[in-house]
Amino acid sequence: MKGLLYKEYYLNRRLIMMELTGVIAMAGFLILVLLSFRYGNLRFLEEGTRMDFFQMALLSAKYFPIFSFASMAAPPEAVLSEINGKWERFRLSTPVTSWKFASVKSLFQIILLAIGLTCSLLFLGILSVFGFTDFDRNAVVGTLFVFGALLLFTTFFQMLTLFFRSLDKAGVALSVILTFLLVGVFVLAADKLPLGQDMSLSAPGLALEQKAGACLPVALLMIAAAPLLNLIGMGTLLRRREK
Amino acid sequence: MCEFENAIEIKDLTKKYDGFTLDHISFHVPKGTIMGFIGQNGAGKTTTIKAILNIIKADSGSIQLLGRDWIENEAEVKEYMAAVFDELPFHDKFTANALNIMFKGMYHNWSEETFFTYLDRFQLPRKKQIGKLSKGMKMKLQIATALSHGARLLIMDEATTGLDPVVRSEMLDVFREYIQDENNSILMSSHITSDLEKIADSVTFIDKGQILLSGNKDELLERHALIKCTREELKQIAETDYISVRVSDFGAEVMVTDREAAGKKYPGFLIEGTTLEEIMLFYVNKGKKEFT
Repeated sequence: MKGLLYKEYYLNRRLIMMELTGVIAMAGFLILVLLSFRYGNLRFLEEGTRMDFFQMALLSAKYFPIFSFASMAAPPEAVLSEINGKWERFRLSTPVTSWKFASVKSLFQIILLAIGLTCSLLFLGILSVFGFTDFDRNAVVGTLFVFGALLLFTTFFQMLTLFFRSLDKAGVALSVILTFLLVGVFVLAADKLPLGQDMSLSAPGLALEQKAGACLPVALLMIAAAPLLNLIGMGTLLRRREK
Repeated sequence: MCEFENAIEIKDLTKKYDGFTLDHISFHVPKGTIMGFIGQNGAGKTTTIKAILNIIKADSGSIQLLGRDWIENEAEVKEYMAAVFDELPFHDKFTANALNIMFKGMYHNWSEETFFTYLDRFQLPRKKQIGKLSKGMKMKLQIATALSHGARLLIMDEATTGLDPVVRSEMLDVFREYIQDENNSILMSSHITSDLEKIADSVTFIDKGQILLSGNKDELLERHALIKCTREELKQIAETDYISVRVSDFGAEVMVTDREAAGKKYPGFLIEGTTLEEIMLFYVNKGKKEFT
């Protein structure tokens, strides 16, 4: 277990450092953008537009570290190339079971996402110091919800990739599933959708934060479910593939 | 590890694919010996090795490794065996130092000291990425890792193929040393029969998914012989006495399985010793009346 975990770290250490550096650089840039709304040229924008852009910039600033690390935490291409590669043949001749292999991948996914979540919460704190947002329950729950949703989404994509053993096929399958899902939501709940209303792009994010209380259990459920799904899915698919 | 007589014991191993069947394979590798596993491309060597390593599931048959049922004791058996493949299976980004840390966390019996001793002996760099090593160095690194966790059984699939004679000779020396410990055994699949002639104790030939021949190497080489004759003389040799016949512009060569009997039965003929490569060649062409 320790050996496999070290392998994951060793193979990803440069990427993690690059990601962290990128997050810090981007955080600095986004703070400058947000400050520009207060002191720079962006304060001269027309009131409505300024508010819209400000909210969008603020949402990006809050959630981009999670997006960064979530995409890294379930890298289907890397997992696929490892499973299809020579390493896998070798791995099968070592005392590493498929379940152990899958659980280490899941554990590493959790570690990466925890780094992303910590970065996001830290950044949220910094933004609150500048007075751009409140570091309150709603903001934290909103962050957790986005974190959980992304985690689940990337895990699902990873499962699809392993199932089809192809990134392209998984991409097509995901597009089809999402299309059906969107059409389904549209057909079943058309009357509840804010269709025809003038809505800014940041509205869903703001709505999410307003409903933070209700979102918390869902967020926690998604965060717990993703690594578990990853473990069960990957373990099962690997076992099936071996035979 | 429990006491055992045979490091590998395979009985009636069968695996069916579309267009190829591994057909009731049975052989054993006695403890403390090296077995050469020979056959042409597509004969079933790698499929057999994959089944032994439990990479593929056999349709039927039993595999015992180190005296234990392989399937039921997979984790334990894997601690005491090592597989060496034709290509380095590790990630290119790794260095020897990183491999050491990884395997320390993977094998209970990993010996850092043994690993670094092999690295020094093979003059392998510790901090250079594996992807930047030559083919020979990669193979040496694979052998070093295979021999550093107290493996009692080494399974090699075309491990020395593509290596230059100097590196191959160095590797054969390492295998000879390894086998000095009578608890250690090697199954070595290879196209390079000359290497097996140098180090193998026994040999198993496989062709079209079937075992053609399996036994002590020296006995096989002693027993088999080539009768060299003209095409006219060939007519005097009974078809039941030989495996197959190779014909050329200069005459014919007949592979017989009992050199002594052939010498008595055909006293006027030139009878010469043979090699594993020739034995393989004649057995593969067994069904044909003649081949060139």
